[in-house]
Amino acid sequence: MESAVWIILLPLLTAFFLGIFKLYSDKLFYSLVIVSMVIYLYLLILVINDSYPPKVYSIGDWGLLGINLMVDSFSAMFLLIIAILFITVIIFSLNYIKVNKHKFIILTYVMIAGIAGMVLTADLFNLYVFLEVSSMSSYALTAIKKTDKSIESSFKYLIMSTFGSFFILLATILTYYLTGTLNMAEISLEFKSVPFMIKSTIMFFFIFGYGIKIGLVPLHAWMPDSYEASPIPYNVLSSGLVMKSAIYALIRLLYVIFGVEFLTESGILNIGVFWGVLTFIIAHTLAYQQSNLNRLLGYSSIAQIGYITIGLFLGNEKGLIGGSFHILNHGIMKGTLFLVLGIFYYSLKADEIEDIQGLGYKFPVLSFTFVVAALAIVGLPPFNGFVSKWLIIEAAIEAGFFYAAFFILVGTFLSLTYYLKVIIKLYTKTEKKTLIEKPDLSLKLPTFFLGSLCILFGIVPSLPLSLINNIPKFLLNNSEYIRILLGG
Amino acid sequence: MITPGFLYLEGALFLFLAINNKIKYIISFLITTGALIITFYLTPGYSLQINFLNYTLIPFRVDDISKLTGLIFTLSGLAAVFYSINISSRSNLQLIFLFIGSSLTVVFTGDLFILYIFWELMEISSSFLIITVSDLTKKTGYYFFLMQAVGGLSLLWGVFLNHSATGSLSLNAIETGIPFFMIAVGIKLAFIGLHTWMPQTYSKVPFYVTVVLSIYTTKVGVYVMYRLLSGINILAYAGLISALFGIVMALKQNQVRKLLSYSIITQVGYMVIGISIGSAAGITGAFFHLINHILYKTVLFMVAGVVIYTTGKENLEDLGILGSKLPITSLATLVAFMAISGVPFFNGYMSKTIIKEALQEPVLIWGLNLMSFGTSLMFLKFIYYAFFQNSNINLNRKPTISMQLGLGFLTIIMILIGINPFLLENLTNIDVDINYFDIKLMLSGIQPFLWSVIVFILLKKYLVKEYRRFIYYDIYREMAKIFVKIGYKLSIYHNGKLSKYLLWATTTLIILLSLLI
Repeated sequence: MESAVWIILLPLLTAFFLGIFKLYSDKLFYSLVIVSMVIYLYLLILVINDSYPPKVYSIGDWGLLGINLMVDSFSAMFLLIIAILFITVIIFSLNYIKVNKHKFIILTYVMIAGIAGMVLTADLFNLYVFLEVSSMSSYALTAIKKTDKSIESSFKYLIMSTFGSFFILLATILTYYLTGTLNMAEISLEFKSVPFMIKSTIMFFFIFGYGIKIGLVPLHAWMPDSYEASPIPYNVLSSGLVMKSAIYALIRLLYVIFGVEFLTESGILNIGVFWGVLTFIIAHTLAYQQSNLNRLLGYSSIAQIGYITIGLFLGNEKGLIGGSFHILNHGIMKGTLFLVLGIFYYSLKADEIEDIQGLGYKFPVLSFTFVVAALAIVGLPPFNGFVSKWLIIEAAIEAGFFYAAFFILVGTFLSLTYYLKVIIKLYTKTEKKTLIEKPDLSLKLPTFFLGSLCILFGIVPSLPLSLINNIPKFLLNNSEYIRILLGG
Repeated sequence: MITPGFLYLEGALFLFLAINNKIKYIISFLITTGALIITFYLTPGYSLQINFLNYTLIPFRVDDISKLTGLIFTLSGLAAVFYSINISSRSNLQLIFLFIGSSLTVVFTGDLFILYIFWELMEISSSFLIITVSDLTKKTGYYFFLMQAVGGLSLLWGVFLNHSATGSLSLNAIETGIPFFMIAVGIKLAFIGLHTWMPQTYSKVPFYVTVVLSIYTTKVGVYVMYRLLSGINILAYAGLISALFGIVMALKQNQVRKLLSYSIITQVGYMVIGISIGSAAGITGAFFHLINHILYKTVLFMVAGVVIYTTGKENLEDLGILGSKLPITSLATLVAFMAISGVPFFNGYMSKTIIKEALQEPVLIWGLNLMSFGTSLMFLKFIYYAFFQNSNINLNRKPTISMQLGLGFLTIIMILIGINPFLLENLTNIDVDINYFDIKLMLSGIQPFLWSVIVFILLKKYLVKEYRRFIYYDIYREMAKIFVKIGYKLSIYHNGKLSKYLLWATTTLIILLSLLI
């Protein structure tokens, strides 16, 4: 069978067998984790390499009736993020997680299966199913520490997210009712005869539903709460993959089934850009107030999603490139920050800003990695965040959104105010604190790997951009996407 | 080809290899002298091109002015690195190398993109230098970084505006975004109103960091001003006002390095005036003044450093340590004093004369005389404390040899330029066509100095006294307070109640649906 199908199946099967192996032997369990991870990495590279021109996989040879998977550059870019983050997080958490370790790993595999499915599918209902798979495992992962706080925040997350899912399902049902099909290409063709008003309503339902999962202000409220209470490796995946897969799905839907002409006509592009600006200004303002680093990074994630939203809602080529690149970069930068924080928490239970005082002298290399990632996420050269922000600003100016471009710079300044606060705390000497547990190499190595990517993608942005540059071809011009999907 | 800037940046990396002091000395010596030699043999007209994203960038381009600036930057880099090499830790030395390297790259860049990147790198490296160097400078570093970031971001916005209007990133095609470039340069120059970062930073950080920072931060601003904003006449008056403000503030200081910081604002005023009138003579004068100013101001900061190093104190009274106890330092102080006051046969005289000769407007000429008068007045105060007041302060320790080497090296160059001003002209093939030793010029050059001596003697009791310290109203701090207050109100509103979250979500849905109609 084709490798793309295995990208969804492998983590799902692995999770299943891990559940069985866990009953018998730990050794078997960990060897399966490692073996499956290596094979998965190989599969991902295979599929990413073969993503241009786009490939369609029809499962079970049922043609259009069956389920279609499609790999284009946008999904390939997302698979790249999965490859980078999933591997590092699994290696990190093998050592890091102490409570419910088996469950954590199994649920992570299930979540990855859901996200991979969301990324690859070309079918509206499947998209919903995979979304729920990834959301369900996320709720469980948030609650996995079983403290009062984590259960409460998981409950909030569950309620809010289900609220969003409800509207996504509603919009999916309405679409099926109007067009009689769930294949994205056919929906897009049928949609041409649907009245404007009904189409806009469906679109707003989609945007609202996904808006909750993405965390646009004021739909973001569950997110910092859940970050505070969940294990830190999960936060990496949450900010790098769960949030991002939601915005991926939304953009895929908007650009493929509605088409960029409709988006311009309905004015949603203006709304999206404005919403992005609002999101990051408020999120930056709130992030400054936080004393808990998990919450601070959570608000910072919301702010970064604002930038990504602006880029992707500009409706031009550069905006899509910049926005997609920022998705990748933010995954890496925020991953680095969370992993460093994770090591601090592992060693001396430090996750308040006050607690990390003086750690810059105890963990010099780790703190340096933190500083690099923080400067990158602020958007200062020569790191990767700068390049993608530059692209987004340039695109915003090209599309005529001068206010958005200007506010991105204001946002850069605001984010500097709180990241600098953390950095200075890191480098302020203090007498107290004894080291409780020394982090070993399996914790440090993934962190350094992500941190070095921050520098690498900043100095040689052409590496990921050679993949990302193809993204607009199939989003801005959805007839091309439709032709390939129907032709397959 | 290795550019001087990249040599320094690589030096910052090589210093990781420095496991002991000996290797540290060798690497620093090789990098600093290497950069100086390379800069000396650069031929104007040479340029390099690279492709990045979709742009063709020019990271390296040589012309007369950039070579001149590069020469003084590498020369003073050599002196500053040797001045601080014994006191600075390895990681701070790396930051210093990074800082010097990015300044040099800014000087030799040919396009706005590279300019912005290394402008930011300068800002990052200097801020981290300030933050990590001592426990007392955390808040200063925070303030410094934020202020410089505003400058960097307004430069970036100017670059974007200009790029979208002209479609080019070239340094020669500046059409729009001038106000933003002005803010960016103004913050680097510590222009009146934007200067708040400077006195507090320069007076709080360890002395060797002040030496390094004072050489490059404002001077890069001057250089970039020449590239982006030359010939805007109105700025000459702004420069004049800023300079006079610097004099008034400097006269009120009791702390050596605060006095020197405000004096930088005044001296930069000369360069701003020279660049703003836009004529070839004005610009040449401004850059010769930049060179001379780096020389004497660095020497003065080094002197202040020696005083701090040997006595541990840094008020003006503590300058009394100079004199017989520190002969080399005292000699350097005198030379620098004569130079900054514009006395003939010292180097400051030469560039001040060129700028004065290039001016047409009587207001500016009189302003310039007033500036010279004020400058020598404030340094007479300096000299008075150093040599004419009896003091009984003792040396705690002797200054290191490398400190004296750095100090002496710059003093000798200063004397050479003073005695033979044509040295600079020959070095850069720029002909100013002024006979510096003309009696009339010398008379008009020395007049402000003589007046200031007379005024100083007459008004001594008003000038030489303890001024009360008071905290100035800082509008930027007030703005920050408002920002924090708003954020606090918002964060209180987010109290973790699920019903509230659902309310927000429903409201959003209603707003979205109402947009449909």
